[in-house]
Amino acid sequence: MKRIPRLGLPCLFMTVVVMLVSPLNAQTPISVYSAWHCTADFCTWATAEDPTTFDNQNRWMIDRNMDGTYHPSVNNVTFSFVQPVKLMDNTNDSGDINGIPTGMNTSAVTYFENRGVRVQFSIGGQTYTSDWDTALATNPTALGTNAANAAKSFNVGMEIDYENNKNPNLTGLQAFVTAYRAVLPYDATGANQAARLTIDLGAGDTYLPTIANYASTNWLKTTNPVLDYASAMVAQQSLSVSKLENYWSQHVKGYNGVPPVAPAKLTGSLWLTGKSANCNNFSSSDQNAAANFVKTIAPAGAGTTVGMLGFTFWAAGCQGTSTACTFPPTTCQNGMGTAAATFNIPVPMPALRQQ
Amino acid sequence: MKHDTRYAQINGVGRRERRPFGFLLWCVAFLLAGLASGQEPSTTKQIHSASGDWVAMTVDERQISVFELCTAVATLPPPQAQAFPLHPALAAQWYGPLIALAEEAKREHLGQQFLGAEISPVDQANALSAELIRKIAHESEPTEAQIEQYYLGHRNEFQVTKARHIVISYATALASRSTRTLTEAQAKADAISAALKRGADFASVAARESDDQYTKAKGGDLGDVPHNQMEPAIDHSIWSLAPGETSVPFRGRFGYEIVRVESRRILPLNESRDNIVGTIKFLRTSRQRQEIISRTRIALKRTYIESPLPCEVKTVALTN
Repeated sequence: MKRIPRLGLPCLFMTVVVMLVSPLNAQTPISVYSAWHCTADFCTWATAEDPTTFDNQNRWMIDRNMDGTYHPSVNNVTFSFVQPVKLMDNTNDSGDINGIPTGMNTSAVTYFENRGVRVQFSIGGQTYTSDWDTALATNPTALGTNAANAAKSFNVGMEIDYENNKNPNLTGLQAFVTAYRAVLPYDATGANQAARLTIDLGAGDTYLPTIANYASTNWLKTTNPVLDYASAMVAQQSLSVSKLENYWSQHVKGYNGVPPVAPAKLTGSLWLTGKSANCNNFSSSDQNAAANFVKTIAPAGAGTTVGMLGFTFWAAGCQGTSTACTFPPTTCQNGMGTAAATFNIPVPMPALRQQ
Repeated sequence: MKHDTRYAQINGVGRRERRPFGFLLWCVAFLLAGLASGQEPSTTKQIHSASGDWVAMTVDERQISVFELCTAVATLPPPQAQAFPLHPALAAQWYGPLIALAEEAKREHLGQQFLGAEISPVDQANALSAELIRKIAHESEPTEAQIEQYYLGHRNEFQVTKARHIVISYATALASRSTRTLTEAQAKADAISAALKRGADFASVAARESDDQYTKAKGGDLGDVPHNQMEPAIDHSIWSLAPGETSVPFRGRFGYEIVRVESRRILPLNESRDNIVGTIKFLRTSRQRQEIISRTRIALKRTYIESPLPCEVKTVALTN
């Protein structure tokens, strides 16, 4: 039998202590580092930007060092918003082609995907709540099928942003999801970009609780998952990071009968405007302050691995006034770009944790 | 209702479509009011709702206060939340129809559980509007005869083409993982096209050579493709070819494409039924929804056509 050297026992003891303690302090790297994108026209994407302008506006997102090395600042961009009724109806009008806004074109998608950044289209948003209601009450299957086919055609994922806070049509929403998944089954590997289907929930328990309950119960389970993950949306702009963390915890712990969601099925959202610290000063930013929480939050009833998937930022593009755009001169490479480097954000996005 | 000339209607001609003389009178009043409005200091024109708050807009008899409109706008995503107060007509064009539907729901005694609830006006409006839309959709369920009639009148809409395709990607194509140059991709596509012309089996070649990960394992099978469901270049090719024909290589979003059409058919009624029901329900629901909005007088206080809403800076948004 081999003798343990004199220093061996203390070393062994320390090793055991470290092994016992480390799970508590374990940090899971951030996998999803995403931004919604409103482009320059009130989130309608009704106009296609010319490639030079688009590149000038968005270069920081795909080239955080702004030197042609093309290390992206994010690994996912969500173009916001597609109008649900138009998508259901495959509308062709001055601002849409087959129900997809003209600005959400191949050129814009390719711009990001060629640099390894995934793209999603977001269906809905608050302003289109009534249109979601109409589509879900009349032909949710067509909406789901058309969404899936558009996703395939553009090689993008889709996001459900249905914001009927108190009276959502869950039967219709289930039919939408079923139709989407009939065309594009859940893909745990993430390789099939079009199969990525996510949903927006409220920041915490005060917004969209009915949808959160249904999604958590039926779609965001770690066994037989239907949706890839949920994004807890932004709340008031002035909220403290600790309040936000409390909100995100509510999803992980469950609330008011809403079952817990695995941290591996959740991203937390933060504000991104052209002059915020998240945009231009990583060291003093909310994302820096919240990062440890996001990487270490433990499961509390669902899932087995620690850490949320990451962050989703509201929003790249123009916020309606020239001072708040993430376009030059207020681009975000020193906040988002520095964060992407600091967090070592993987590009392309890897397969997501399932537990 | 007597129309207050301090307000400008923002939802088209509305019910006046059915009352042309009324509409003409309203137009005259509108023009006169427009002339008059330039002479009055705006501060003297503020009117107050029952709660003492300034009224920003009206939806028929209902007065929407500045506070209510600002609070509702603040729930919107930042671009709208910031821009709508600067351009109140946009705010009214969003909130007015929503309130019109909610008021109709109230008249029909729908969603009573939301009326006494402590929820924001915008949540209440969305909840009531959803109740109304569901009721209209439920009542719009077509009969079997109507379904059959629609099917017979729109048979071409249910045409599908069974097709296969081969994608040869290049480095700058959408979602490409290829390192090929455009020229190399074109050369490879041309070579494949030549092999197909010599009789190579399309499915086997697709399984071996295609860069489309969705269809490669299925020999390039796209399944039954309806109109307008594929990217435009492929859609055009599919519907230009006759069954049995194979396209020459062409550039699509994902690289060079070669498409083969195998068969074309019109889906039978039993396979189209759900779609027809959905389409009819949607058409009827949309028409009725639009009728409700059109017959409602949605008017913005003239002051706010030219000046911003005095919304507080603080936002209460809980949404993106």
